Amino acid sequence: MAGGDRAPNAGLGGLGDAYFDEEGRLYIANKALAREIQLRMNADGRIRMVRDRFPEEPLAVARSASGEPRRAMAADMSGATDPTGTGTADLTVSGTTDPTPPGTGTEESDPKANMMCPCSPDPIP
Amino acid sequence: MGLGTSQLVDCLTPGRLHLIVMPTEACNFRCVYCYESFALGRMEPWVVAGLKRLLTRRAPGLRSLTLSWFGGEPLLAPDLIEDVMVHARALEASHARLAVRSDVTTNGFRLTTSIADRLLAVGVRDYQISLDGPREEHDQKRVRIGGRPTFDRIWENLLALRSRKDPFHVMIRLHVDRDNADSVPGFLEDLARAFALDPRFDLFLRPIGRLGGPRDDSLSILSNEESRVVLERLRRRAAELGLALASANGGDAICYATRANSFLIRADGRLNKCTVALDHPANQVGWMREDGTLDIDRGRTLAWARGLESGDAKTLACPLQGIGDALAAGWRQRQMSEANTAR
Repeated sequence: MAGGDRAPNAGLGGLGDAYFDEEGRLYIANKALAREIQLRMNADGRIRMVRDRFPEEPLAVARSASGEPRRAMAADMSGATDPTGTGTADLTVSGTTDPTPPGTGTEESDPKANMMCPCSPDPIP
Repeated sequence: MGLGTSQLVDCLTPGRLHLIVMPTEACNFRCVYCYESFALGRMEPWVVAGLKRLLTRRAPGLRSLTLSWFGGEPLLAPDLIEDVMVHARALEASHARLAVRSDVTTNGFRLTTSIADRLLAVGVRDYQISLDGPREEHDQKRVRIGGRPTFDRIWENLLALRSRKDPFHVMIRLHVDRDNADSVPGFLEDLARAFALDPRFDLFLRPIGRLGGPRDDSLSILSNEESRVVLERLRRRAAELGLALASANGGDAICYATRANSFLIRADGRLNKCTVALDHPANQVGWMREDGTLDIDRGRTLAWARGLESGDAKTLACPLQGIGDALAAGWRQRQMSEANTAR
């Protein structure tokens, strides 16, 4: 993960430390990456990072593709770099810094989710 | 292409959620180029319950919820769409910051006035409907089970939509291949006469591709160079005729599968990222649970978001390309990390 001198339009790098909670929210475990995203998002003024949360490890049983019960993603969660919670960042919508009411602002730039691939995939690898 | 702040926010923020939902994976059509297996039928009731619970759980933290109805043919299960949309609208009414939008990708055959009434009433306002050219071409490829034609019924439904006063948007997706390339210019004139003066309708030209269907080898697809030339010519002609042209994904060229806040929910509760490679192992990224929680395979899901790491335009636009290698690389990195930890 590069530091804050990364070119503004380069890719993020380092998403391998990110993970999802049980409701599908993305968390960033890599503090350097979280700081870099924070810097980028600060320019937008809508998002703040919360660094004191860590989702509980999901232990519920889910169905596998064959219909058999299987453990949830506990093994994958072990890949997070800081299971103590001290270094975890949660990309959370700020309730105080966001002046944009629903239906305006970024919602206007929401790409139409119209189920069309922007390209024609070649045969599946 | 570069990644700007707003694009990163859009792709990463948990304030946004895009769910592509397959209310049924059955279809009344058997288009010759279709890649789907139709192995799963109507969405199981526990999945519907789980989906509604997920929306309830996420609503307090959401600013934008997009529900995209896909299939199969989603209008074979309009009651299910209504059920979830009524729930989503209730959440929108009780959460001041939440904006809900909804679209449907349909073959248009069942989009009658009564079905349109029901969908518009619950706020499904964006429609993508595909045609394969003029009637004689279309009815060779977009056929019902058993091979019966479909063009006249779809066209009738499009004209009925046009006669409505409601606000909505229809994107007519016009497929082009070697078979219809010569007849499409004439068909553009038909489209222009019918829809050019109505700003609610626009046109998206798309070459037919081989997407993994059983009849791929028999398709007369255009080569990449032919596609470029033919589509450019057709776009120019469409513009001359006054037809509004849509661009892919609003022109931002980031596939929904790249976005960390976008998931496809299959009829059996499976979570996918890509709507094309439905059965690819890399696309099986988790499961929905009946209580509305998700069991997400972190490694597989993040492999689809790798374009956000690299900034590579091709990967952002189609993360399916090279997904197998990316997943293998992710596993190697994890194994190395675990080996280092063990040491």
